[in-house]
Amino acid sequence: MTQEPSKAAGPNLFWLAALLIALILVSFAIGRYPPLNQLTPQRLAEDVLAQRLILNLRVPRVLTAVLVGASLAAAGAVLQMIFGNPLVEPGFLGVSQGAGFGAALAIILLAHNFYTTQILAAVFAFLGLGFSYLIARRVRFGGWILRLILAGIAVSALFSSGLGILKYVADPLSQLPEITFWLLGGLWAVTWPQFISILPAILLGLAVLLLMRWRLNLLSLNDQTAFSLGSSPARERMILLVAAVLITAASVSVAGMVSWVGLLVPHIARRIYGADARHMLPASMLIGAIFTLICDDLGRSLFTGEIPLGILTSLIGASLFLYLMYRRGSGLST
Amino acid sequence: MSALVSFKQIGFAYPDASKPALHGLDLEIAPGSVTALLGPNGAGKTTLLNLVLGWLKPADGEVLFQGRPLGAYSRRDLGQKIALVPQSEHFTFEFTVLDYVLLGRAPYLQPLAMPGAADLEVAREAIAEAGIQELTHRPVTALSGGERQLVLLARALAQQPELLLLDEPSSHLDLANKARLIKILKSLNNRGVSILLSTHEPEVASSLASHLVLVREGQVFAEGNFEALFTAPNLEKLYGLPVEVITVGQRKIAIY
Repeated sequence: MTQEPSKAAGPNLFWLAALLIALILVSFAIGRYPPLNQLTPQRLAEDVLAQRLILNLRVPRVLTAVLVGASLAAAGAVLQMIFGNPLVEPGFLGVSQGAGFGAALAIILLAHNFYTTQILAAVFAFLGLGFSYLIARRVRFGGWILRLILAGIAVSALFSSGLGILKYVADPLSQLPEITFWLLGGLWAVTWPQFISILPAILLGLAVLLLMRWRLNLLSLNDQTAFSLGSSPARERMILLVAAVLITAASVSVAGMVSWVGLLVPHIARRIYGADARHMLPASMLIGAIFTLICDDLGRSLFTGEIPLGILTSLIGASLFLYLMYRRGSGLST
Repeated sequence: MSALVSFKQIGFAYPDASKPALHGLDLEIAPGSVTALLGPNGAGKTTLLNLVLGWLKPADGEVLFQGRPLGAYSRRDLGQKIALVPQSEHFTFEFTVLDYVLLGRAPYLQPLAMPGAADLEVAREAIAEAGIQELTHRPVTALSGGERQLVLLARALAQQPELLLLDEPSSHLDLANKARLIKILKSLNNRGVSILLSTHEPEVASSLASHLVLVREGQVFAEGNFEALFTAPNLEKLYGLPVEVITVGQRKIAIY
């Protein structure tokens, strides 16, 4: 299959990938111990503590940041296209609020256990999608996409009020801070088992999205047009939707709420590489990974206490978004 | 020769509509013809086109394409045989014209496949045929209404269909582009592509069509050879106002 250079703009994706790999290697070295200026191959060979720190904590955390960033950005890009709306992000359709509710439920009912939190968050993320889908099917007006979005807003609101109730009844000394911290998003608790637990789902979901990326262009058109071009838009969109929610649920289950990656990164990718998903989607994944990894590196190294990842992605993400809007349109037509 | 498209006792109603859009409609479209659906706004022309496309399913009756019910074809099959130029389309993302026209190759590609060099060639030819080469790398969102309509036409050409459906194809076009559209459609028809278009402009029908279908209030009120049907009494009944048909050169023109 030839990749015709229909869009020559932007640096080759290869350089973006090289930048990501370089950044991953640098991130392995960033941290409070051993100090960067004392980090030599010799020191690493001798210092068992440093070895353990890097191999057991830093490497899985860095790799997880890459997976989460790539997934959230890819899911955002895909949802924006299948809903034909550049302002959609993976938190849509009750997915994020569902995950937050599930995590809080696990923290309150099942006490201190990372795995139950992760599993319930993922389960409720999918329940959020499921409810949105079922409600949308029963709504009697509007097009399918409008119904799905409206149902998603309603389901999100329900889960978010449920979350409010859970926070209200949570033990303010032990459970409430944990819920709050989870909702702020972060990778501080990630080690190899968490990385391994999300790897298959994320690889599967990303593979589906990447393989269907040209098809995605077609599905970004309105239903009737996509239909006239020989597709079954509802069915194909559903495949992409499930893949996008799968990687979002997996990401949210280990990282909590990491906002703005899914909304912002596709805009940057589109600005640099054009709208064609053949280039835009892989670019989104790479930029999403780079952005999230930089935020996580900053979060764990700027101050002695860790800054939650979600705070940094929102702060930097929203600022970048404003900057992009000021500079030249928003890269979308309205 | 058997009909390309046949409507058999078609009834169709939009949900929540007080009366059916079409009822008891019989119609046959001959292969190789240029058929114009002529009628006032809301007569059911677009509904008819959507029924041929398979996008709308009739409540009663059956639509046949080349003698087989539409449901007997796979989605990809129909996408290779029938193309639609919609009246307008909202562009959300800044695809280039080339990327956009390339989407016309979708019915020829497996769901996971990417378009190859041959598809790109077809897309470029379609762009050339629509006469918009200078727009090839422009984003579709930056185009004027007329240019957009030609992009939609180019995409349909890239589908290499046997039947081309056009919904009010001239509505956004200026005089020069209207003439260009008519020329393109004529040359397409000479290559054997059948054309079914809806229009509320009698002039467009008169410069193109070999067959005329007059549609009023969800029913075919007359159909047949263009020459025989394009008369003042017919048009007066169709639009409900006095019309005069005059001949200029070899063309008939309706004035009111």
